[in-house]
Amino acid sequence: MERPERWQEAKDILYSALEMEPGPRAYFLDERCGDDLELRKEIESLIAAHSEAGGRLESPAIELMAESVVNRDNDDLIGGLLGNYQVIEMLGGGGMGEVFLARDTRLDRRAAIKLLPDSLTSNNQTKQRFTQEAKAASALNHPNIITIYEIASHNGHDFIAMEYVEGETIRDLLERGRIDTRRAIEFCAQAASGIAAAHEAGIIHRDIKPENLMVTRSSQLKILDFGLAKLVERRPSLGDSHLPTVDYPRSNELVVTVPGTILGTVAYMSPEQAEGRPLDSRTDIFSLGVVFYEMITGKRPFDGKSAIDTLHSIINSEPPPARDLNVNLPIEVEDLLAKSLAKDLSERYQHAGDFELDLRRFKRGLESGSLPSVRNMPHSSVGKNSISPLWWLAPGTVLLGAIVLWAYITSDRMVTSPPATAPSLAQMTLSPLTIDPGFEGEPTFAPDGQTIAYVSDRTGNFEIFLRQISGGPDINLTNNPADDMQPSISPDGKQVAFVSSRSGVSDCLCFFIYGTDQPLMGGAIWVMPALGGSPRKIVETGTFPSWSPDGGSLIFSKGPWYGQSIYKVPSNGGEPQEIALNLKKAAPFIAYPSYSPEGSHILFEAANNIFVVSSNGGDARLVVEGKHPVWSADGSSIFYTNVEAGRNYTLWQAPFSIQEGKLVGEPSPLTVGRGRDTQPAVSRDGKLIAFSALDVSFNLESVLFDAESAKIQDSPRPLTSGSDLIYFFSTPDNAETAVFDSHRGASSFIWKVDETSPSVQLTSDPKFDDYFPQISPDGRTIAFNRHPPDQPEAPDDLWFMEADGANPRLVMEKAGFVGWMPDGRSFTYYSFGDGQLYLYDLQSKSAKQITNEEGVYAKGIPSPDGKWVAFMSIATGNMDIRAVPIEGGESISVVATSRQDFHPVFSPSGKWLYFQLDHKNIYRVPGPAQAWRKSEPEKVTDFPESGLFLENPQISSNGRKLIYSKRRTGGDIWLLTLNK
Amino acid sequence: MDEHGQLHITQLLLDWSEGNRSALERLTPLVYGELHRLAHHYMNRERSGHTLQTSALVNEAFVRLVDQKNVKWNNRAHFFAIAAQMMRRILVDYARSHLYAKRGAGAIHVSLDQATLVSNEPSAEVTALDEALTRLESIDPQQARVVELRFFGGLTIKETAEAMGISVDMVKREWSTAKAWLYREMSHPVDGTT
Repeated sequence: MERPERWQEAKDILYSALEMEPGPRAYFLDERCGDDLELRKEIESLIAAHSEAGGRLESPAIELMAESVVNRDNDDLIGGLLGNYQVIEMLGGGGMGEVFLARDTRLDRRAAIKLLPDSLTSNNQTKQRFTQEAKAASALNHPNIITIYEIASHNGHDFIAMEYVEGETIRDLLERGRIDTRRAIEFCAQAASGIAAAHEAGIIHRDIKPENLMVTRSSQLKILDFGLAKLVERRPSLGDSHLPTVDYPRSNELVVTVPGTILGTVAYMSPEQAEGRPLDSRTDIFSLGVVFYEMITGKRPFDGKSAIDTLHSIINSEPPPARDLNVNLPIEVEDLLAKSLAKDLSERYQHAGDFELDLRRFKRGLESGSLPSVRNMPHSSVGKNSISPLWWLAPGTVLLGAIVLWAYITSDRMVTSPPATAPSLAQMTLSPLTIDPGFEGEPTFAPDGQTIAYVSDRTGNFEIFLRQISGGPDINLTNNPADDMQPSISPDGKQVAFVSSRSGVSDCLCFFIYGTDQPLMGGAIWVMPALGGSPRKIVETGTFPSWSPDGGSLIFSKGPWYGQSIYKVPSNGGEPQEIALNLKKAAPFIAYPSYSPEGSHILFEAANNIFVVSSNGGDARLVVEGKHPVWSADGSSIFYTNVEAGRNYTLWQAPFSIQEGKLVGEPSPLTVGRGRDTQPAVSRDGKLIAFSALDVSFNLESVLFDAESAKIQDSPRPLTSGSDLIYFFSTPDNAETAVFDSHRGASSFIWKVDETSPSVQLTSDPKFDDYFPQISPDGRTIAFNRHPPDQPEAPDDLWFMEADGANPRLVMEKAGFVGWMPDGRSFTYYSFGDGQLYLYDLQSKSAKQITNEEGVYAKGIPSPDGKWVAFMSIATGNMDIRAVPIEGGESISVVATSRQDFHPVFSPSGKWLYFQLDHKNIYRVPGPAQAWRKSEPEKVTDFPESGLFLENPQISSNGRKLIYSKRRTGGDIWLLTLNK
Repeated sequence: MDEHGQLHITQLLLDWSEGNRSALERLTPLVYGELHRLAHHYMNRERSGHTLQTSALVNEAFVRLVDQKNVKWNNRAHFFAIAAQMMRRILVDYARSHLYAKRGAGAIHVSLDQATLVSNEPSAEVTALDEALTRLESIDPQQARVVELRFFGGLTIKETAEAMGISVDMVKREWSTAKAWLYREMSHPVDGTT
């Protein structure tokens, strides 16, 4: 059948025949083919072939080939290296790309590698948006969000390396049927907790679905793929008019960016997503509601025959009542579902935290049998709308900062009875007392239990305000241009003691350096009438005042910058007396002393540990690791902030015996710590606990300036953002990239960032805290300090690694704080053995002592000509700056103000030495290229000083940029009500 | 794909569509990466249960390759035709090399028997279809174009009709009968009349 005209003839007959049933077909063929047997045979063989072919050839070729192409690509990857990762096996494919199990060759740990489809990252703009988003997502540090290690590219493959979690997805669980209600609530609450944290950081997931929720063996839920959905959503449109267009149904088109491809799994979309309206964080709440419904009923609330059907149902239909599908569900669940699946945004939960709280209350009620429906009446007799509002859905509760917990960490305890001293969940409510932007913290109760004094920076500086818990206007008690902080109300309620910088610059409120909540310290202690009046200065220098139970005296902490003691002073003034402490191990930074209710003992914090001592002083006893302790009203327990690894700055309560001077039971958590929950205060009747949920970050900023003229030429630009806590960093080039340390979670690790890419994590061994990274002048080697986190007193070791984090290696024990010499062939370091600076030559591998004096404060900074080393010294008790010739000898004093002089750094010409006063503004004095000419410090930056904290300023090698880490502090006060 | 590469590809495509065969030789390696991208895209969508329109994907791949600003397609049919031809070329090349890698040099000229078809080897199926389609071209060019648009371009019946400017019924007719013809060719490739 090779002749075209012959085929045209055959085709006509064949097509008609194919449309017919076999009977008529034979008849038809008899008629049409007549005697042409060859044609008849031809047609019959074609009909046979057609029926054999069946559905073959109906799938486009690319569909047939896709799997084989992909498998071959993946086969090529397995066993090979993808950046620093050795690919072991394929774990699966997801909406966002194939996932592989891999081993991180640098850190020898397992990681999951997600390959991003090229099609999603091939467009530069899309890719840039993606990296921004992924960078933000990678900064999320929450137990219910999978940790992203890095986002990188290798041989054209863009990939994300993340925490490898063994477990199953909620989808896997659902495939075995619906999930036990209590487990489902727990999973959903955990997911809500993670989502709430992300929302707080400004990140929306957009694709919450069972496939993206993973459950570990220990029933911890982890949310996957944060920030990735946006990558798909924001693809460029193919809007050119001459391009082919294809008609698609309207409801589909709106969620489509490339014609014909529906994004996201439609069943979990929110109505606003289905309609293509703008999204905010509430879209995730809806999607989680859909997952919750499916978990407890085994069915999806919106399910159509096709994607379009499903979308239509999401937009227009109410889901069947969950109890129709699972009769064991209590009626209260309908209310949870109604509030999470509300189509109207204003009727939906406004915050994922509210959803979490309601879920936890619901679970608690379910377990204790105290749900109204369970308690009062059988299920069947309860009308659908008969209970509203439900008592356990505290109306109007806004939850941003922290969440009452219990079941979260110790779900077993829920079943048995809670410990005697710990308030049970049903007896606690949590509500915010302040919701203002900025900082609100340091609450303290008046004896009436109804009035709180607290600190706010809403006026532009720190002031002490009074507020009635029941409402009413705030009273600005201090109302003064100076900073006023750390209020403490006297036991009779008539006076307020506080710390103020009002008497002059020497009383500057500086930041307390230890730990990340870093309250201010310094200043003078003042006392004023609680209802307003003239303050009186009681103590010239002191911080953290606290009243004795009889109101006759105040205790406070005071001392040189490094090494305070506790003092006592009569509340009407007088000479402070030291309460001599005997601490078994050195513990600087004594803070928050407070008397026990009967006055026999004092509780205080020193370097992240809580101690107790007799009020007459003597041997102090370590109570527990933690911060900011206070006594309960009756002294039978203490409240404190838990800073252990993984505890995330949560508020805890621990039973305490004053007689025995120690804990007499297990500590238990009170909050989950969305913020840094700290600074607790207890009302006299013991029923209320106020605390602050702080939000603290340190991020890098750079500003254009001229190191010679000291002129600032621009406004600062952020180099990092998010929840970083960056203290030290270095830049090899002109601040195009920076390596920095960051406490994102419990540990400090080293990261690298440049102006266009997301941060990349270079170290991640949980056995170490890594900090103070110093990159060599050629940009190839990073020197850093390494420290075991569980041994605060142990000296650091000095390590090197490559600039990309490869090959970490121990260089020297008991050493650290490297200062690279300009030629990169030698460096200065600090010896933890004798507390001196040394010069180490990399070629001869020999060290030479530089300093020989007391009080050298760790880091040495070589001058640009390599002839001097500047360093900080605490020899006088104050922080001063000195310099010593590189070949050793007597050091000279460079800066010695009455304040704390920090962080010297040379201008590239060596003409100037820049430094900071009190971690605040930056100043400079003449440097070695001006023969250390004596001159008053010249102020370089002019940041408002209230609340200002800059760390570790650096100057780029071309002298055009000033880079520093800047602290931001926000916080709100929360009230925990114990309904005993 | 930088702008230079895009222009280069555009020129090659235009040369090719004007009958310059050597342009195609130079084109194929340049667009090979697009096949991988497309395949991964396809699989990712597939696995996650997202619905998907192949024509949109193919178009998208094509649009990314070609500098749209500097090329004026005569009409939509022209655009679709070029896209489908290019897909055909890339896919068939890939399938051949895949089979070659699998079976060794002797199998470049695949003559497909029923067993191979049933064994569901997509590379073999695509290669065999390409060979059969080449034969169909010589006796019925319009029908071959329908197949090319449908099978390689991923167009639906309706899209094919629009692209070719013929009726939907006509496309159905061409498609249905071509399937029979091609399948028979693929199953019994050597019928002696060649």
